[in-house]
This record gives sequence, structure tokens and C-alpha cells, in this order.
Amino acid sequence: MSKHLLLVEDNPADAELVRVGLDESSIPTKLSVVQNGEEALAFVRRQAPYTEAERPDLILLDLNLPKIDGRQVLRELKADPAYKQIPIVVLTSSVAPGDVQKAYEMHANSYVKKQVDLDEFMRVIHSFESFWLEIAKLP
Amino acid sequence: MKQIVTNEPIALADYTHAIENLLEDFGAERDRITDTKSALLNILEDSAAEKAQIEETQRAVLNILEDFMIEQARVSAVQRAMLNILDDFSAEKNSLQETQKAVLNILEDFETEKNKVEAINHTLTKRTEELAWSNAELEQFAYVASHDLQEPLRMVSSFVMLLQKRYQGQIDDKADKYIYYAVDGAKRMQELIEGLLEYSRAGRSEIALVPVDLNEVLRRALTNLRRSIEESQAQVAAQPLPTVSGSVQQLISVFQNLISNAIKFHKPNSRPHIWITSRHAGAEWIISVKDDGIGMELAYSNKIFGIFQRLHTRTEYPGTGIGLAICKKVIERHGGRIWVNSKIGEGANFQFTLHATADQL
Repeated sequence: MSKHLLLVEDNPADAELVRVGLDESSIPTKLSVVQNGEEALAFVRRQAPYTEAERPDLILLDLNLPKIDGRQVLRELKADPAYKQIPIVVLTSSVAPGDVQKAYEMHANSYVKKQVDLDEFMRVIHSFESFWLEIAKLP
Repeated sequence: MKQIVTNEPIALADYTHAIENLLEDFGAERDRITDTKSALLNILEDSAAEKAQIEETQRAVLNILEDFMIEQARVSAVQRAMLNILDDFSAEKNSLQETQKAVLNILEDFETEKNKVEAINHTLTKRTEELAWSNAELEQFAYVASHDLQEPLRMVSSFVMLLQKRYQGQIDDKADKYIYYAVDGAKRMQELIEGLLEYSRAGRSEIALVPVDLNEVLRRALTNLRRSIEESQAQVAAQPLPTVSGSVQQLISVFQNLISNAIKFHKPNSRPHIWITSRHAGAEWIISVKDDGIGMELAYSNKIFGIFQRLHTRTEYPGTGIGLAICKKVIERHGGRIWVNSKIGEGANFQFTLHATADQL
């Protein structure tokens, strides 16, 4: 049974790169993409227009988003007993020590940097996919 | 009496009488003369006494005069001396006045100069502040720009690379060439932006100066350069190096940049040799990284420390031209200097100074 991954990413080009990376592997994955924090919360909570959305097994979350940003999404979902067990992996271009520290304080399940080099970026996506969607047992 | 002598025919008695008369007269006369004489004598006597007294007085006066003369001579001597002194004094006074005038002039000039210097100082301080401000602004700009530019650039480079990976050889040769140039350009821009980021990072935060063992710094720089040392078969000879006051990470980057340059600019078909030495100079150490590479013209020895300055095309020698700019920035932030001695074809000797640690002074 394929895992359902929700990607929260405002940059369609980055979303495309993630999709390309996931496609390169043989691990069957269902990918949903939303573009900001508001949509992400609505998607997980199955609020309009996502009343039909399937609950994600894993969330890949960018931090810098328009409207409600990734930090708030993280805070709200991790404080909600209904959703706090969904692993959230932060994927961002920021490696500011403050951002890393804060994300883990808000119970992020891991923190990954978007690599500048394409091959590196793909390697990260493949490792992520292999660990979280294949190796790790998810609730 | 003359009349008597000439009247000869006079009688004797008459003569006698006359003589008696004469004698009488003579006697009277004699008495008178005696009286007169005595009077004279008296007078003379008195006069003598008087004279003695006068002489006495005169002598006294003379004495006084003499004394006075002596006194006067002395006084004139004193006076002369005083005049001399006054003369001297007036000369002195004149020269003093001259000096005073000169001093006043100097003071006035000094005041003018001082005002000028103060004005210049003020301008300089202002300029320095402005410069420091614009420097900080520039660094902030460089950091933000390079950081923010990285994002869209990542997109460009990612997708042209993806295009290359997926579609190379599927369109035509021209398409492959265009894609190659796009990928190459994006890669280069990425290197530049990374360099700019590194450069601006080297100047951003205050560095904490601690005792740093340069032998360890060198060892770590060589570890980072292991692959390029193996590929070029470079020979690195290092003398024992001192412990200096500095920042480990930043000094590693200085050694790494200088050694990697020495390897990169080696003579064609020859194995690069690099010598690392140090010598003590006052409160400083002078570190030297010398090679037997292609060297450079003296005219360029300053230019090469500028940001993005290169002496060769990228086809001849790859690179961004940021390495030496970083070295310069780091060394200057450590309070040192960096320079190069080189001649075309005779290698280059990069030298820089670092402060000795307090216990070595």
C-alpha cells in the first residue's frame, strides 16, 4: 500500500523537483501538494475545500510560506491530539541555528536542508523517501 | 728821592738835617715798615695758619674729591656696566620681542593649522563613520543578496541540469551545446554566490582571538585539500609553525586558499612544491607560503587580493577570484598584513603576519 505524503511548498518549481525525485525511485508514493499554511491546516483537518482529502502519513513542510507560515503549521498540528502523531519533516533552505533549534522544540520529526546542487537535492529526497516511506514504521 | 740827589748845591747842615729828616722819615718809615712788616708777618702768620687750614681743607677737599673721583669712577664703572646691561638688556629685549612675535606668529599659524587639522580630522572621522556604515551596509547587502539570489539560481541550475540529464542527445547537437552553456553559467554563478557568501561571512561576526597552533591549522587545511594534493602529486614541506592569536576556522581557510592556489598555479608538466615557513618579527610572526609555480607580474601583486580579481581565463585556470580576497579580509581582521613577492616563471611567495600570543612577547 502506497504512503500518502503531503508536501507544503509555495514554490511550484521546488514541488516539481520533489516530485521528480520521488518519481525516480521505485517506492510507490501518493503525493499531495498545498502552497501555504492555511491550505495545509485545512487539508489535514479536512476542512473546505479539502473535505475529501485523505489523511497524510507524513508531512514535508517548508518553513517560509505566505499567510500562515510553516512554524505555525508545525505548532498547531503538534498541539492537536488528533494529528500530533503524523511525522512532520521540515524541508527548507534556511539553516539558521535559531530555525533548526525552534523547529525541534516544536516537535518537528526531523529537519532537512534543501540542497543547492541538483544531485545533492535528489540524494536528499531519495534518502528521505527511503527512510520515512520505506524503513520507518509510521502510525 | 731822585729830586734830592739832583739838587747838589745844598748846605751840609741842610744835608745833615735833611739826612736826619730823612733818617727820621726813614725811621718812621722803618717803624712803619716794621709795623707793616710785623703786621704783614702777623698777617702772614695768620695767613700761614689760614693757609695751613686752607691746605688742610684743600687736602680734605682733595681727599674728598679723590674719594669722590674713586667713587665717581666706580659709579661710572657701575653706570657703564649698567648701561652695558641695559644695552644688553635692550638687545635681549628686542630679541625677546622678536621671539615673542615669532612665537605669536607660530601660535597664530599653529591655531590656523590646528583649526585646519581639526577640520580635516572632523571630515576624516565623518568619512570613516560613513565608510564603516557603508561597509557594514555593503556586507549586509552582499549577504542578503547572495542568500536571496541563491534561491532563484537554485531553480535555474536545477532545471537546466534536469534538462541536461533527461534530454541530452534527444534534440540535436545545438540544443546540447546551449544546455551545456546554461548549466556551466549557472554553476559558475553558484560558485560566485557561494564565494560572496563566504566572503561576507568572513567579515560579519566579531572574531574571538584565541591561541591557535598553526601546525594543527595546517594539518586540517591539508586534510581538506587531500584530493587535490594527491591528484597534483604536490609536495608540501613545512617547518614547525608557531602558536598565534587567531580564529581557527578562519586561519584554516587562509592556509587552504594559499596552498590550493600554489597547487593550481603550478608549472605545466611539473609537480608543485610548496614550502611553509615562519619567522619572528617583534610581536608578530611572519608566515610564508612559497611555491615554484608560474608566478605573476609584480604589477598585479596588489590586484589579486581584490574580490573577483583574476589574472587568467577560466579555461586556463578555474576559480572565482574570491580566495585571496578572503585571505586578505581574514588576515586584516586579525590585525595583520598579507602580500606577495613573485616574478613570472619564478613562483610566488605569499607572506602574512599574525600576532604572537601574549606569552611569547
